[in-house]
Amino acid sequence: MTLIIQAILDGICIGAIYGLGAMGLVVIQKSSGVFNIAQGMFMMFGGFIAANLTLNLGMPMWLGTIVSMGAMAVIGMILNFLIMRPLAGEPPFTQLMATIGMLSIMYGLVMVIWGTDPYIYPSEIIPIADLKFLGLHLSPSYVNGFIIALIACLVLSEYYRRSKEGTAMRATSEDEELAASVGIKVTKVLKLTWSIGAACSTLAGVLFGMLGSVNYMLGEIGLMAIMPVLVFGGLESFLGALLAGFIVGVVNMIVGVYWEGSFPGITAVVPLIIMLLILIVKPYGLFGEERIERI
Amino acid sequence: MLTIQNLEVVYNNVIWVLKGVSMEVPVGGMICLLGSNGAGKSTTLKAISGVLNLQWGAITGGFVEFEGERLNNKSPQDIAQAGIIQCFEGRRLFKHLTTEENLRMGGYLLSSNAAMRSRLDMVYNYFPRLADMTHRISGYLSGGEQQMLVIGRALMAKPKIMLLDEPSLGLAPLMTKSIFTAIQKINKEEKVAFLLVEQNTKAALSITDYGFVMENGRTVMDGPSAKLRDNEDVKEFYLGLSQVGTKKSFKDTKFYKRRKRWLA
Repeated sequence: MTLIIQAILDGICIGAIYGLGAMGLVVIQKSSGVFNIAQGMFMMFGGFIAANLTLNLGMPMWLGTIVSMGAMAVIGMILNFLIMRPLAGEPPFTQLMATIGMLSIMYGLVMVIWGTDPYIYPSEIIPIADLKFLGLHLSPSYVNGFIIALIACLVLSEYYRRSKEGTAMRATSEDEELAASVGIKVTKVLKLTWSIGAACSTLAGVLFGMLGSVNYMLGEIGLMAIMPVLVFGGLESFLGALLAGFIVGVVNMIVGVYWEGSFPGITAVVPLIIMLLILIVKPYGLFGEERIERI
Repeated sequence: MLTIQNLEVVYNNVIWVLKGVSMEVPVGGMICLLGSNGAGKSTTLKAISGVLNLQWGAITGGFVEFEGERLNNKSPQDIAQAGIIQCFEGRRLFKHLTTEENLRMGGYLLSSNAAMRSRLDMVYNYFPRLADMTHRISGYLSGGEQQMLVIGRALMAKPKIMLLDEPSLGLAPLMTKSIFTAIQKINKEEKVAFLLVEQNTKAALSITDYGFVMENGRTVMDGPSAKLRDNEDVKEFYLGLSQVGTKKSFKDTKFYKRRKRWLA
């Protein structure tokens, strides 16, 4: 019994991090309409930059995280300017292919720059002690992940829903021409979007890295776990991404506890199976925006 | 206030749409732009509001001048800042945003929250229907309500001139009447000039002061609306009144009793 509750608790913590990673992509999807397959790479790159800063330069963990978020935000803006902006009016498939290209390049770069050895972060962002109660055990990295991811999710979704700039981003994703004629500076909005999206994923990458170690496998998590979370949470919804993250996290943990022994590697496939089942029932995802058409 | 001289517009480097359009809109004026489909009316409006290059079009000759400044190559954001706001054809809105969010986006260039609030109240005053559905997703509104929202959104930005592209498209006659009444009110009270592109010639000529008729990318006739309404050519081509008062016989069926001599 305690095994299941432990799995659920761990799952919720990891789920918040999944949700945060997916939110980075939701941000980009929401305002430029591009499904960024390279999002997992932002996570990995950011995680490695933070590892470099904290281990080699000796920065405290919180500072290293913030600086790496800033660095990735700049890299995100540059990528948008160099690659995505020239493809602005092209069909979505072309833009998708460009993001796949970015994925391959970044994957290769990570291996070249940092190699295949794992890096372990020196400490957690918020230093707290192990929590032990009722026979359950919550390690500090899990609690860190949960709290920070949750706060980031809430801040981001409130920004998008309430603030003028957030609404402008949603308007731009809907209709760029109309947004331009209303006075919204479309290029500025897109730059901001890619930086926020990259910074978001970086934070998720660092939080993941805190759970174990930072190695090139983070990119795999990005592709195999975050994409399904995103797709079945609904491509345009923050709340959906968070909820989907929780679902995937919890189910993953429970399956891992009971079945990892007999079916090794099944935890990697579980998110995809859940995604399939949910898409059969709700094709736009749990909270996705349905297309509004006048018939 | 707004002057267009000999405007030429080309799409995709090959399609020559406007072949020399000239018109003028005075301060607080109500001008209508008439013509059948494909005459180039929407293109004229898009050339004024600057969204042509987002549709692979370009102004290749002539100029657009607003309050002494040339607008030829300015971005749509700068033109919106100057006070020219366009309501696009077909009730174009941010469909997934709510009514109030659409209006707030219309007021994107306003400088303060207080200004935003007062403009919102003003728009709700003109269109009380919108106040009942502030939190409804705008894609689900009915046609008339969407048209009101489009005009309200344009009004939020403190426009000096509003370019309306076919506001009566697809609306019931009563709704058309109420929208046109609202337009007249806004013109009188807020001193906003209107350049109205309309297919509904009768309604357009009844609320405007001056009109321009376009055919095939050129302005072919202009004059005060009252004179246009009585012009025989306009009556036959656009108002469907030919041989009014006489008994028609099928023997005399001929499509044009008058030769359309404007199409050179």
